[in-house]
Amino acid sequence: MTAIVASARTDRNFVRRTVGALSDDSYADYVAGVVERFVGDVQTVAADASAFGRVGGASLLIWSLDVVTAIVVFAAFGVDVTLAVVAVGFFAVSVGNLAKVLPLTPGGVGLYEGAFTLIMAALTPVGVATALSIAIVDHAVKNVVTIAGGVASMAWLNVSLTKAVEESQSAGDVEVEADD
Amino acid sequence: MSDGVEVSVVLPAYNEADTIEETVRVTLETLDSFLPAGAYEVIVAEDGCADRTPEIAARLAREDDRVRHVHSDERLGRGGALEYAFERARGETLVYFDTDLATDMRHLEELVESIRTDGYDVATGSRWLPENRADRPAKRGIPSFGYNTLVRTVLRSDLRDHQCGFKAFDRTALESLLPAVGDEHWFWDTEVLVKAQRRGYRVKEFPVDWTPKGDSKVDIVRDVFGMGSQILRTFWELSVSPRITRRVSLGAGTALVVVALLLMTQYLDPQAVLTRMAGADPGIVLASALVYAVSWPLRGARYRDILSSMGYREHWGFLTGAVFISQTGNLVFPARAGDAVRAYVVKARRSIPYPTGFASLAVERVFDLLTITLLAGVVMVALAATGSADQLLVALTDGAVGATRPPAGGPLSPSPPASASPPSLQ
Repeated sequence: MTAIVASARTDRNFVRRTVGALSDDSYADYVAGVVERFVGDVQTVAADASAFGRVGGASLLIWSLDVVTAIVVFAAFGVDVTLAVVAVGFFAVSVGNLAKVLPLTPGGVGLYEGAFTLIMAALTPVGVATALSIAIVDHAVKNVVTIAGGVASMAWLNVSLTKAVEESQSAGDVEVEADD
Repeated sequence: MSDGVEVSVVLPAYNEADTIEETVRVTLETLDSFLPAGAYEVIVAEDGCADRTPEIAARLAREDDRVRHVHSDERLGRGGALEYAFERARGETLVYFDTDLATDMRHLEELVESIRTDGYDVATGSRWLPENRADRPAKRGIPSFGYNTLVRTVLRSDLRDHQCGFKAFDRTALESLLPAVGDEHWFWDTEVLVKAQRRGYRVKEFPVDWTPKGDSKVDIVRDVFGMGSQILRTFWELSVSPRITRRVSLGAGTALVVVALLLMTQYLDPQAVLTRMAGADPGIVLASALVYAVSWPLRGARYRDILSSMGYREHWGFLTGAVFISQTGNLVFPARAGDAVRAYVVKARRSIPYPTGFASLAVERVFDLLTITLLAGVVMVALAATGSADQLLVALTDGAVGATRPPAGGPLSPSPPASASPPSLQ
C-alpha cells in the first residue's frame, strides 16, 4: 500500500521497475499493467499535491467519524469509553469495513458485525453478547442514515434506483474491464 | 514459394541470436525427410527481441524461400506471438515447438501427421505419460507435476502434460478456439488444450523424449501470480460463472450469514443480545446517528474535489445526494452494483461522461481502502507495541468468542447493564 502511494507520488515507472526486478518474463508486463491501472487512478488526484491532501484528509475525517459513531454507540450501551476502548474501536470498525469489501451480502450485513464482534470480544472485556449488540446497533444506525439520505436524495434528484441500475449496467459492462 | 504449403511450423523466438540459425537448419532438414518439397514453411516468430535475432531471421528468410520472418516491435508474449504468426501462416496444419529443441526432433513426423493424415484437431507432446523416458531432476519435475495435477483436477483436463512446447493444430479447429482463449502468455498452451477438450475436439497426447535445456529457475511472478491467476480465471470462466447469477451469489451469502446466526445460538443466548439492545440509551444512539450524518456532506465535498481534479466542477450538495443514492444502491443490490448507479446519476443529471464517472469512483475507492487500511494498521502497530496484540492472539486461540465472560473488574470493564446504573459517559 505504501509502495502504491509512494509510486503514485513519484512516477509510474517505479511499478515496472519493481516488478521487472522480480521477473523479466512477459507476465511481468501483464502484472505491471494491472498495478499501473490501479496506481493511475490515484495518480489523477495525487499529481496535484493540494487535491491529494484535501481528498486524503477528507477520507481520514470521514472514516474517523465512522469510528466515532461506533464509540458513541459504546456509550449508549454503558461501556466506559477509555483510551483503550477508542483504540480497539478504531481497529474493530476498520476491520469490519474491510470485511464488507467482500460482495457477499447486500451492504455487507453480517460480515461487518462478525468481524467487529470478534475483535471487540477478544480485546475488551465487554463480552460477546454486548459486542454483538453494539455491532448490530452501530451498523443499523449507519444503514438507516444511509437509506434515509438515499430516499430523500432520490426524491430530490428525481432518480429511480431500479432504472439507474438498469441504465448503468449497460454502460458498466463496457467500463468494468477497465475497473477490475 | 508455391501455394501448396500444407504445413506451417512456427518457431517462437525471443532473444535467441545464438541458437536460432541452427534450430531453423535442423527443422528444415527434419521436415524435408518426410514431407514433399514445397509442402511446408518455417516461420521465425520473433517477438520484440532486443538482440540480433531479427537480423538473423531476416537474413535466413532472404536466403531460403522456405523460411519466413514474422516480426513484432512490441513484445506480444508467448501466446500472442504464436497467434500473430499463425494468422500469417499458409498451411492447414499449424505446428510450433520451442526453439531450444528440448524435444527430440524425431517426434516431429508423428506430431505433423497426427493432424495432417490422422485427422486429430490438436496434438501435443507429453513428458508425463507412463511410457515416456523423460527422466528429469526433481527441481524441474515436482513443480511441473504439481502444475499438471492442478490443471487436471481444477480444470478437469485428461492430459498429463500441458506446457510441453511441442504442439500442432488443425487450422479450422484452432481458428474457432482462439477467440475463446484469453491468455496471451505462457498459460496460452494450457488454455488451448483445456478448451479444445471442453469443445469436444479430438486431442492426441503422445510421449516424447525430452532433454532439459538451460536453466529453468522458478520465476515467482510468472509461475505463481501469472499461471496461478490464469488457472483461477479459467476455472471461474468454465466452472463457476456459468452457474452463478447475481441471485445465486446473494442467496449463498445470505444463507451463510443465516447459518452463522443459527450456529451462534449454540454458544450465545439470542435473548441476552436482544435484552442488551433494548437496554441501550435511545438518546445516545440518536446522537451517534447525528455524528454519522455529519460524515455525509464530507463525502460529497470529497467527491467534488476528486471530480474537480478531473476537470468537472459540481456543487457538493448535489454530489452528497449522488453518493447517498449510490450507497443506498449498495445496500439494496449485491456486488456493489450501487457504485455504477453513481456514474449514472452524475451522467443523467450533470452530463459527466461515464468514463470519468467510473474513474472518479475508482479513485474514491482507492482512497477509502488506503484510509481504512491505514487506520487499522496504525492501531494494530500500537496494540503490538503495548502488548495487546498478544492478548488478541491468546483470546482468539482460547476461543474467547465461545464464552460470554461476565463483566468483571479490569481497566476496560464495562459498567453494569444500563438499567442498573447510569452509563458513565453522561
